Amino acid sequence: MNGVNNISAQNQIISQNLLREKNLFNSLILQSGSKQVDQPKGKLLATYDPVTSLMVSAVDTGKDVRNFVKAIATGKSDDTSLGRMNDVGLKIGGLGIASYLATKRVTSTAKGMEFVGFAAFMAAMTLWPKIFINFPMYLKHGFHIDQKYQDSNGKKKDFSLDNQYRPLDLWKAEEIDAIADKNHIDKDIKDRRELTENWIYKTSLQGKTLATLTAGIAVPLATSMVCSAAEKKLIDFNINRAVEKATAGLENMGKTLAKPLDKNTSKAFEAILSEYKAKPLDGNFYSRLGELFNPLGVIKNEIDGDSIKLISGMNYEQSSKNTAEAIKEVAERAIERFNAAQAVKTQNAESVTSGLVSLLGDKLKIRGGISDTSATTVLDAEKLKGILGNGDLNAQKVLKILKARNVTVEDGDLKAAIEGIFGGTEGQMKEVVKAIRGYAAKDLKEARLTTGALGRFANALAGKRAESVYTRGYNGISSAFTDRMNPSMEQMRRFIDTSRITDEIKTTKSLITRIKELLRPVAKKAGEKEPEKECKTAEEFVIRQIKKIAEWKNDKKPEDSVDYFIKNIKKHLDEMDKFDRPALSGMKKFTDTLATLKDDSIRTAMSNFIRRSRVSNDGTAMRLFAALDLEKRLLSTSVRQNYSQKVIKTAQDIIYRATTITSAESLLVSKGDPEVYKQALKLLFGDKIDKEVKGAMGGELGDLFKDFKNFRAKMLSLYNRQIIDNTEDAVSLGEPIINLFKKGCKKKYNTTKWMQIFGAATVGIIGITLLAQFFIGKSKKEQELYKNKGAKNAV
Amino acid sequence: MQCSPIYAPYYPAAGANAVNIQIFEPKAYASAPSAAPVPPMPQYSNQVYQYPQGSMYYPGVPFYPPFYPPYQPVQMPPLPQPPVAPASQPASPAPVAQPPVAPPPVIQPPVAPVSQPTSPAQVAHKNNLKSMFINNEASILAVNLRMMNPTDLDGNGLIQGSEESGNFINAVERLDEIKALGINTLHILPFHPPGKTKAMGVAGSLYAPADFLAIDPMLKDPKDPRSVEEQCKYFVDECHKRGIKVMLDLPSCASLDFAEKHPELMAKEKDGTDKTPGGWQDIRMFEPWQDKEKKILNRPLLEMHKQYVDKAVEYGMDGIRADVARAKPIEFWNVIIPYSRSKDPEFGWLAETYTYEDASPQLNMPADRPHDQLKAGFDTYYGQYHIFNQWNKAQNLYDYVIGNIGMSNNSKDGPKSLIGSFSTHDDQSPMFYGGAPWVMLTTGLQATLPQINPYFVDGVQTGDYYLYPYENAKVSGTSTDSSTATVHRGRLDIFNPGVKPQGPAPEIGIFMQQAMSLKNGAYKEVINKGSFIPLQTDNDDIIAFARHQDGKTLLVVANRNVNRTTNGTIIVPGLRQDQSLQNLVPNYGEKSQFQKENGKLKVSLGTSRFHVFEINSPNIERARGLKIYKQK
Repeated sequence: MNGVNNISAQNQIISQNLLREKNLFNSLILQSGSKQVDQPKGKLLATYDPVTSLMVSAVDTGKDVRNFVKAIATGKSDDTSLGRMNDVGLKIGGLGIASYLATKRVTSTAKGMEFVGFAAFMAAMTLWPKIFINFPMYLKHGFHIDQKYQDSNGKKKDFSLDNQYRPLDLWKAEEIDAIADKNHIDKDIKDRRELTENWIYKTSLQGKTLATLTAGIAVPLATSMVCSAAEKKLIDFNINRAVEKATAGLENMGKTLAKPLDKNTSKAFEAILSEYKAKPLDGNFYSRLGELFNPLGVIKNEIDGDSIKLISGMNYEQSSKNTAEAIKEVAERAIERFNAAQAVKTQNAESVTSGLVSLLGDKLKIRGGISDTSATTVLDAEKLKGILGNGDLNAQKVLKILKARNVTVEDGDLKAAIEGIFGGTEGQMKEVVKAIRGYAAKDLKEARLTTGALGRFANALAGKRAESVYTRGYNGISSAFTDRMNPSMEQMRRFIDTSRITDEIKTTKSLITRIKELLRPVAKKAGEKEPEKECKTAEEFVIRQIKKIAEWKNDKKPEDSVDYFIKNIKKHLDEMDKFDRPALSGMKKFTDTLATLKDDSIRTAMSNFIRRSRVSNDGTAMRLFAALDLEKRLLSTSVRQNYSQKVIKTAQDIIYRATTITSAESLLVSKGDPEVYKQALKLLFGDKIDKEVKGAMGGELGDLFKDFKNFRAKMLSLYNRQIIDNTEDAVSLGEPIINLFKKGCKKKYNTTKWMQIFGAATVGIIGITLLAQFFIGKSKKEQELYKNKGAKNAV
Repeated sequence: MQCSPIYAPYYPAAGANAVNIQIFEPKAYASAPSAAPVPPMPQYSNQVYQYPQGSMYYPGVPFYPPFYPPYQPVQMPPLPQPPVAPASQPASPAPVAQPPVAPPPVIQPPVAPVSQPTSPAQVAHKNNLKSMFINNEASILAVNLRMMNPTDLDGNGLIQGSEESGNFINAVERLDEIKALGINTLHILPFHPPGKTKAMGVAGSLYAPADFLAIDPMLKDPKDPRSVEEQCKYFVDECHKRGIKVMLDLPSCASLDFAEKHPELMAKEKDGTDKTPGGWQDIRMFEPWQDKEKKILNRPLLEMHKQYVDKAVEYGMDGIRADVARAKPIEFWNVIIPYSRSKDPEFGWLAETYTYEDASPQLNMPADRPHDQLKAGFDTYYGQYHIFNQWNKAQNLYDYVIGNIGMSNNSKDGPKSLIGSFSTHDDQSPMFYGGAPWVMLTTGLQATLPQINPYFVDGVQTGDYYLYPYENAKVSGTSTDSSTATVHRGRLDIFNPGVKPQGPAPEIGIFMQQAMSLKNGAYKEVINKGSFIPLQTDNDDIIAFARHQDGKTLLVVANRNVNRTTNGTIIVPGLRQDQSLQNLVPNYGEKSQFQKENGKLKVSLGTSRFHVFEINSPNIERARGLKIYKQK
């Protein structure tokens, strides 16, 4: 083949070499895939549902706190742990703030709400993006923008935490392709996976940006909504807990009283006595004792308005006075005994020592293990005096000192002899302590526990604060009644602030008012009623609504019936009964325990306080029933014929508007014609109860009916007298219906308004968040760019 | 400007008119204590060095620009006479830019070998770099040819105008000195013509080549009539004559000039622009794939790299160091490396790869996966010794060594090794961390740890701080589009035509010489093949391990603390009270004290002190409680 085509032999060899080389290179290229990369050391983690996610998050927070503590202790950490410290700081800081704020709150509910608020905030921060962004985006795009992975060091991270740090090889190629397919990324695009990967990150970034943008509004809103819902539950929980605790406290009173004074208090008491052994007792002495025993500890431990009022309004001063006098008496006796004991203890230390030496010297000679010589040396009188002669010894200390010098006193007589030397002193000291403890248990403690336990009990049951059984009962009655009256927002606004409405109508007329006026004819046509036009006042409105209930027939909604009305109010009375009956039983036991107390004024006051509160609530409910009963009977022609309009109006005034003051001496009702007044009372409380009302109350045998009858009888008596000379009678009238309704309106209006604003805002932000997601993940432009990729520099 | 003599090399004498640099921050230099006494040059002896108080070797002492002793060139044999005229010149290696569909540029081999007195044929050289790597026998020095042996006449730190640049011919003058250090392999930092666009420095970055298949003409000695390629071969031959292997650095990216010419080779952003690796302005990334999803490689890029290998082999290179090896996939290297081995079975490959990354923190750059690179055919890799100063317990070092031994033993592709990457040209000079004692400590470790091919950057043998007087100054003469002499402070300058690396601590070189002699001399088998046995101590600062092979045992004891003396007890099975302890490397710095007991060594180790002793403990591998690690 030499010389073919004029190629020299050398060049031919070169050409052959080049060809061989080229073939080799080509074969190597064909085999380029013979080696595969290792599987990544990290892995994608399962994505949990929101609840599990919250739990996992809590566990992770625990780990973060551990890492944080470790970092503080060792000064060492890693990037991931450091990065997460921000979250730890947020949580610890938030908890710290909540804890601090809780100390500034009075009621358990308010304290608890600080933590509920914190927890709700943290939960909202976690759940908001999960529920309203991540999950919808998953449904739309087929991947979780909050996908977590575990890195090669076992650390959990968010795969899209850093847009420049992309552990993309944790995704299988098929998974990327599936996401591309779901999101309609053209299949003919070169580098489709790269485009999809970039798109995943871009979409994740957009989702997270949306979360950041909306979280500022959504999280506080969600937190407030959660808190609003949680508050009622928390109040219920606190009421139940407080009543149970207070009832148990009453039932265990005997046991508590039998317990000796605790060690710390005893020691502190002895220290005060020791300090005053040589000087006259002064004011400071008594104030310190008062502070130490804190007979009215309830004030200190439960500083809230109700407690203070409760105690200060009763016999606090007398109790304090009694306590101070008792302390003085016992303290003087104690000081006297204490000084006597100290004198015995310190007197003649030398004689005690010498007595010991002579006593022990003989005994030691007969003991084995220690030579006489060494024993003599050890128990040399002077030395022993030095060791023992500090005047502050007792038998046990001497025995301990001897034991430390290998002198074990096992001889019963010897032991007794040593104890005998100190017996007088110790005996006197013991007597002092015993006296103190006895006094504390009997007098001081009784005073303290009586006040404390009763106070707790009374507050749990009848306190004015939100988390008491009766407050809840009152609120329930108020809400149930207001709901049944079914006022519109406009009506409620008018009833709670009439003057503003009047001015508005008279002068400027708001835009809304004008619009409403314009719409009124249309509304009329549509069959809507115009209660505003008919009822200018709350009283008119309430009477009309109650009349409607009275007029109820079977063809109307059951919720508007007499039966429903009464039973709906009754359930709140039942709820109070559920708590106060066992609780009052506990109080009876307590009363029995303290039957021997000289001064049971506190107990009496507490009992009265509880009873009055309940009577007040009952009175409020009964007035509602009485009003319904009246309106129901007024439907009858015969009744209307028997009573003049003036009488009827007076009866309505009494039941709807009549008020009292606590120390009432007169009833604030019309002082008009006495006969009219008398007739009105008869109409209200004297005539037979309407059958339907009676039936709804369970008839003759029903407890409610009995209570109602008693209420009517009492009211008849009270109103006839026209004088109320004690508190219990005053509160038994219950709250005027109009007041109850206005209060209910105020609460309902605020709640509804709040819900309208925040609920609407929440719905709005949810809507915006969901709507915004339609603009996320647009990829057409990206796809076009990828299609033209490289065009700019292509040759 | 009146300068202290100490800075004389940096500043021209007053009145000199050769000033062509502007110092933007004169205070940075003026603040140096002009009255500071010049520390006397320590003269090496077998005695412990006593550093003058206030010397820069002591941490905490304010640093001032180092004193550079006048360079004393090693007496070299006379240069061979260059031929008057070469018999023939090789064809121009410049590749021809082709559209993607066009065949890749083809480099025509020379029709006839160049006839030179020192042609490869006349040098008895047999490459065994691959074996050296996997047997841990290579001792590597990284050199920047253009700074290897230039002449800075005006002392301004820059080689400009008529000053002789570092080139292949004058670099030869330093080979004996390098050889004397115990170096047997040179890592030649990239020697291609740098790109000029958006360049870094006034000479352009070594890692931003404008032409991968050409040699920077700056490296040609103008006095020598041979072509730059021939001079390159001559240089390589001279290395080989001295038993020094030569490894060429293959840049991972290209300059903007290159990218402009070869768009078919470049990775594209979605908008069509070339991809830039995060953190760099002057380079653009290659596109290794034609179709990534179908795993089809970019053929033109493969061809260019094939030709790169051809060139390297043609120049007589013994191996390649792949810059940022992760920039190309395992499939890519699985072509190029076997191809090189088809030409030279002992062609060595070093991967610049460090540690496993879950994802890349660098924009556009794939995650680092050393295992994958080694699987692709690399023999040795960088590893993580450059963060040794952050390991605050000796156990961290042991763990890393043990992990790598396990990795190599489990490798299905044969044994693998690391280089002693305690300091690379990407790292700040180790002098900043702990001065000469620290450098000697890490040198000692490189010489005695298993699975390591010691690696140094030119200048470290004299303790260079790599501080340049022109740092970031505006320079009037530039060969790029930048007039700023960009410098990464404290790192070997790869952007400007600087002076030869030179530091104030030549004793490091002497220590290095002894340490390398130990590793590749009498204790070669023990160190390169022997077992690794971490020893128990009661102090985390004490590095203590034994190396053992065939009854021969070396005991290494060092203090990793650069701030203080460290005391403790080391459990050394087999050690006897009457054992003589002779340090096999030079002593330096603070004194260490040793108290021998049977099976135990109580030590008080000077700051950053390193010691290695041969002890008579032939059965140490059978001692209870010790874990023995052997590299297969």
